[in-house]
Amino acid sequence: MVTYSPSRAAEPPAPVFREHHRGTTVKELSLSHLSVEVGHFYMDELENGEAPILAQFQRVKPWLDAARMSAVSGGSKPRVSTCFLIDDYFQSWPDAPEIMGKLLSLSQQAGVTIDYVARESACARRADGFAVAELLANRLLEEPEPDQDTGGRPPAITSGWLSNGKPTREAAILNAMEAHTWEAPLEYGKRNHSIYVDVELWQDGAEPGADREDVLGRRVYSCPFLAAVWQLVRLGLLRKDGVPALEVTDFDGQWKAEWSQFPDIIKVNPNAAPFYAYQSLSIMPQNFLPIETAVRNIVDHFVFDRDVMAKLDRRAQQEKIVVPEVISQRMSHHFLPGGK
Amino acid sequence: MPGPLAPSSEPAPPPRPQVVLGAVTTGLLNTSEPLSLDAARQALALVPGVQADWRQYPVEQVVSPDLYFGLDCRLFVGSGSQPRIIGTARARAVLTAGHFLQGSASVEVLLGASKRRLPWSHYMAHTGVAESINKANPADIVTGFLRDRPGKSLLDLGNTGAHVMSLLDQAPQIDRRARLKTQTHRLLWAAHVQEDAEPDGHVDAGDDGVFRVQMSVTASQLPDFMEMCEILALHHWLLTALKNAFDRSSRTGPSAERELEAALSYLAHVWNPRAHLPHAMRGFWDALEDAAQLTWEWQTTLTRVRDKVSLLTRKAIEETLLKEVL
Repeated sequence: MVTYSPSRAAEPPAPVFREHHRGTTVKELSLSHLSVEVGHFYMDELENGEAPILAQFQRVKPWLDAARMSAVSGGSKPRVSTCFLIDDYFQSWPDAPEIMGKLLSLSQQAGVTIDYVARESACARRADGFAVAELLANRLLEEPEPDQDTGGRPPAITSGWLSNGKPTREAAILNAMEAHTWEAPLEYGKRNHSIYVDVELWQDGAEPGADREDVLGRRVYSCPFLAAVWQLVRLGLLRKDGVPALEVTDFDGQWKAEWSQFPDIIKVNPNAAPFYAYQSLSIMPQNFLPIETAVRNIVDHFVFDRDVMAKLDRRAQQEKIVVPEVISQRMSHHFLPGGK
Repeated sequence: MPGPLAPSSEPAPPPRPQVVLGAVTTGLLNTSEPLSLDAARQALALVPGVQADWRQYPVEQVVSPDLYFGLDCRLFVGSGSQPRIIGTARARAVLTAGHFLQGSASVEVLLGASKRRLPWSHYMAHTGVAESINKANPADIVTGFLRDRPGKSLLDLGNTGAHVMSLLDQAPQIDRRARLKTQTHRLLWAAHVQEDAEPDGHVDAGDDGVFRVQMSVTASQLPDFMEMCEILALHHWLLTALKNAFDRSSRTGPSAERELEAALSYLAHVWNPRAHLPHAMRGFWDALEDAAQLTWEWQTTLTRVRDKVSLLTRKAIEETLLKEVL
């Protein structure tokens, strides 16, 4: 009888000396299954009468209940947290405590519990002065041009704009000798027809040649850009030195007089599920639809950190949750019918 | 109440790349003295919010976070149409001994993954991977890539690596006053990914001075293989830089000493290819050393440089003594 035993390569011996310092170690996060953003107001709307605010929260309520029922939780009890983003970046008025009191009592009256409150300004620059928005700005990758990009194009975005294709070319910029006077825009990843989107990310106010600090100090980020930061923070994907770029602070019972004195994210409900979540839902009036389209375009160009993604994936697997690979598919929206 | 399961079913396991292509560009960081470990870690933190990885023993080495470059281009194949690939290349900067800078770029190629270019979000969910639209033979792609003849719209990872190196040009930690003349070198590598493959391959030294490495590896050996290619690229560059300095010293006359002195102070202490060599690559490396004898050549060249410095010094002393006697 002939027996055959495959030769086995000897296991490599355990190394006698090991040294490899990871510059950044990614922190394990407590995660909810779903993070729900329960409405959105411009600052002037928050300043005005109470009735429209209450009305929006009342319209949010049934969809919030539906979200709680449908959260993807792998069979375990769903962990759902709610949040609200204060629009203090473009206009900020000095009666913060009054607005906060009004907001929390009206939402409660409509049966919508707000667990976390965050400031849009913090998505640009944190309370400690760190430029959060630049984390995203440096992680955006422009789409390669068909049959053109062989690996040498610098990945940095300098124009302050981000598109999903090639813009329209008008007659004025075409060579006069050419037959065509107009060239259609192109969405690079189109299926049959193009939907060309070009999003303004920021405007720079500094003089040309100014140093980087000055440029960043005078850079004004667009609303979709800050909303993209907000979405990526909620999904636990935007980090600084391994920890979330914006962190949660417990509410100390008293609202500061100025918005700029607020912590970045405040936990107002002590019993809330974790702020960060595998997936996000934003419920808001339908006039925000174009903004959210722009947000998705930005998120679709976001280069995730491999270590961060691997940690999230492993955790999801342990919890038997299927999270979409494409980040923008982790975000969903419900646009409330009618006007504001 | 427990929530429903995901609307989408369990995703299929991601398809494995059949071919991985890479290029390592190596050069001298343009600074008069090697960077300290701290300065190197600051200079190589190329992505805000992420710090560079590092090791200290036996040779200091700092590795930048990964950077990505968009790709939509062609791969060269000997026959048939050139496959078009779309996706991203992954690249990083590696600084060894505070002075030797490498841009290391690679892309995993998935063959015949789709029939058209998909929305960009699809490629961003699989960074470091490029998908080919048409079918192609992995062996043809390996051969075609290593051929490395420049062509319009052909993948050029050497350019990617060079770009990563250039990101350090403006680093405040460097003084842009290197005293040694060197040239940037490029090494190309291609891996055919096969399960159950023993690391098996070969290195071709081309008449253009480029080393080309070809290997069959398993997916789990890829990082080790890539690291070995970086080590080989660095040591090939060191050897070439020392030899060039020696050759120049024979031609330059009075400045010969300066030339050799810079070469000795910059290069002499760093030869140590086994320092960070991954365990799985030791067998291959030993075979390579046996055939190419890079370490022997290094030692010989170094001895010649030192002998020449001794001779030049003795001559200088004799001349001085002679002057005093006269």
